[in-house]
Amino acid sequence: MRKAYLINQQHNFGLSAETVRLLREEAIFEHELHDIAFWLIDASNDMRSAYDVISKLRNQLLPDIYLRPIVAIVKQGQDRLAGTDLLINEQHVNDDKINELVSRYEPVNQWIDKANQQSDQPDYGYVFRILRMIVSRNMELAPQSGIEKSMGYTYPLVDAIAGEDENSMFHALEMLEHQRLISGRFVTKAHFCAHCDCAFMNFKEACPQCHSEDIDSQQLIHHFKCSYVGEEQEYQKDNALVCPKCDRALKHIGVDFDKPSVIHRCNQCNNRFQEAIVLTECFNCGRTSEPEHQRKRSIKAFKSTAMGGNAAIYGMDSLFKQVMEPRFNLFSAAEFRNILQLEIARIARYQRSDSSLVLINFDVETIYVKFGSQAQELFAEISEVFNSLLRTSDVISSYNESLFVILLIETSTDNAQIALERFKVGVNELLAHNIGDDMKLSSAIEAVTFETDLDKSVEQFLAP
Amino acid sequence: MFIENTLLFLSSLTLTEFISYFWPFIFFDFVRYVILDLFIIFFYLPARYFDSANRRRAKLQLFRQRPLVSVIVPGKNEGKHIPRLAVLLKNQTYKHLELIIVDDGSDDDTELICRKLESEGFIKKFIRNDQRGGKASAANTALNFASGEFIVHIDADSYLSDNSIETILTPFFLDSKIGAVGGDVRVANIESSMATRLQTIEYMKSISVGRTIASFLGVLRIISGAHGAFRKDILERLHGWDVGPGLDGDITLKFRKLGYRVVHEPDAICYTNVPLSFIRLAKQRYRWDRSLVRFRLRKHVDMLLRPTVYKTRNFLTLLDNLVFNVVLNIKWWIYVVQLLMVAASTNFALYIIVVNYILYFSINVIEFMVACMVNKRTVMVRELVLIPFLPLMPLYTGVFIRLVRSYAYLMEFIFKSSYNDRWNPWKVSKISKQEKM
Ligand SMILES: [Zn+2]
Ligand SMILES: [Zn+2]
Ligand SMILES: [Zn+2]
Repeated sequence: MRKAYLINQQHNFGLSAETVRLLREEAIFEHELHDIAFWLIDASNDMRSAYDVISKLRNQLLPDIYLRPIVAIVKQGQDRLAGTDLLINEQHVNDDKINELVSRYEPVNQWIDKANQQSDQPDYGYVFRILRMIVSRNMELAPQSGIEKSMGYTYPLVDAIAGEDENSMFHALEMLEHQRLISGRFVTKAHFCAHCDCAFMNFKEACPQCHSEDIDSQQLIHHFKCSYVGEEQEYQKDNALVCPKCDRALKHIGVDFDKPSVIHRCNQCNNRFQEAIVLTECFNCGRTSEPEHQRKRSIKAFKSTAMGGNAAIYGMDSLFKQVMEPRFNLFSAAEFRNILQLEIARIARYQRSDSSLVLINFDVETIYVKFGSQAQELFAEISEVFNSLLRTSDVISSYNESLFVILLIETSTDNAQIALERFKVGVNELLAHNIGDDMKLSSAIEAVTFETDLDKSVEQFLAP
Repeated sequence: MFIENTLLFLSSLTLTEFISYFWPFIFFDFVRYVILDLFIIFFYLPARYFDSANRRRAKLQLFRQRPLVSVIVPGKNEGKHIPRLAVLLKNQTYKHLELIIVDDGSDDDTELICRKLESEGFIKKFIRNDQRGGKASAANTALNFASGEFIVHIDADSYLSDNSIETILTPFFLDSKIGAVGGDVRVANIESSMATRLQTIEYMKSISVGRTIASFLGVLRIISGAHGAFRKDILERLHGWDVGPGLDGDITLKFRKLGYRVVHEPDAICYTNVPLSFIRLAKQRYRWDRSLVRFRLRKHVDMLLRPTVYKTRNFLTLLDNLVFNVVLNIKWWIYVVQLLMVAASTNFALYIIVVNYILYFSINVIEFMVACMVNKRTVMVRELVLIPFLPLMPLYTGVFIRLVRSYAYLMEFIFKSSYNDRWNPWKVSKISKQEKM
């Protein structure tokens, strides 16, 4: 029987030890994690420190910790706390409620067990963790509007999982949707600052000619009898409306005259126009955008797809691998190992090494969550640069989501170094050109010898 | 055999008999067309030739002063034509133009198309009126937003030839008393149907030749809304157009009342699409003809009753208009009755008809030749292939157009039906009728 784990509390709200265990935050890792039903957190006194705990839990890499449901106990009227699965009123905390929740979250916990059977490794990928959150809950991830985040919308359940920056969440969801692992349902549309993605903007009507906001509006008046059309002020004469063409007093709108449209006049340049342009001024960065530069985005609710359900259990192909696959002959990990073994045997026989093993850690995900959908084109270009590094005899495979292993046959480490440098320069130029930013691109080269062990090398390479 | 009999019949006639049988032709059409056409050959063409140095100077003056010209296009549901129109204007030899489109309550995607063109700079100003107000109010809206010295009014579906704007503006620099210039309107869809072919010949006769002569004699009575240029200061003095239909003729007469000359410029060409079927043509003419009664007779009757106030030529303009429309029409019916009586009592009515046909056919041939001479280089093969259709013209103008016109006049005199015209929104028509305009 799973139990609720109440974190960082001295007292247990009068709940029985059968249903609830107390646990200090620091002790989480020492604890057996498999019988957790959900984390219970008291947010009734201090929302901030409660959120700190939630955030810590959600940012763990072990599915047993970050994927578990989180239930927060709150005061009456409190209805928002990021990262939680559920909020319950402090007055409703009792054994029955806890037991009910234990069974409610059983499917989620069973899903976690299933995932753990596949691999008990930590989930390093940010996007992967978000996918697992969505899939394990098996419900729609709905956007919630609010002013806490500059994007104006949050997805409370996954919000506590920290990305590179505030917009990572949107980009991660975009990426998952792009890979068809989740599907979006249109909810609404929102405008964003083209410079900083902030949703908080001031919309201002302005003159299309000089962009001044100093504009006035006038009604046009059409006098039926003589067909004259002019601005209302042309008709104004001693508090009455008199036609400037035929000198008759206008009587009733709709009977002898009407107002067919509204006209704006700019007080700066005297331009008269019907359609004012709408400028947006960002509350965050202060920059003004013209209509053609404003960014409009659909805000969606997300649900996992069948494909996403699979990927959440068995792991996600790295995006870069997806981009690379059609361009290169990517070998499977097993094939790569076989070829490497043959090469090692050959080298052992001739006692001479002239092949090199290259490891490249290329954090595709970071780029993706940072640049969203723009990343696609960037990857395509990067793969072109990758191409320049490789010859047809070379063997390339992806070791995991971000690590590529390449066997450069008949290439000395010196020559491999030269090729690798060329590649790094190429990629960095590309990144600097596209996004004005450098990317951490770590790499290692070693000569293939009879002692070469791929897993060891990778372990060494990844070690801090 | 029949021809022999016809000739026999003709030769048997005394002069008095001949006149009594063919009086409409001799006194009206022969005078109007043959005499005037000869006049054009002997006076107008040489005069225009000797005037060419002045025209060159005037053109030079135009390009030196480079006045801004507002091209205004009022209309409803014309959006589909506007992109092409904008391109045609960009191709004009005269470049200092602004395009102003007024959308008179369109219910299609006109606004969408035009707003885009406006933001791209192809249209200077697009004004949308949600409530339809009629052609005059739409033109007046455009006038309100125009900043040019000259206003060129064109229909959205017309095609301007490249030098059209330059040519229509030139007369203003020839004579400072010229207040408005009409451009030549030709048929674009000549080959579409029999109706369009016959209309093409008619346009060549009535617009190219007819208006050129009227202009030369100083009695031009209409500047077509499909292609006309106006001095904006005068238009503003008049506060623009009055309620239609017939607003083109109306504004022309108002210019003349103010003492300005109004001329036709046959070299400024714009092509327009004419109705494809005779039924649609009949409806169009029915609408046009009724406006004559309303505007020339009811509204501007002062020109006839108090001729001293206005110049003699204005008097003549109106008289010409009346005679050659209303009176000719009455004459036509009298003649029809006469022919019926002849047919009842004798057996040579058929001969009279045949002879008339030949006479009118000859006039058409002469007129067509004159039209080609007036239009000079701008006449091309597309017009010349119409020659085989000339034999149909006596039936077209002599019977078809006459019948439509008679019906229109009758309806307008008796029922004032143009007040109920769908051409204007009902709210406007109602006011016009109340005011007995
Ligand atoms: Zn302005
Ligand atoms: Zn009025
Ligand atoms: Zn901003």
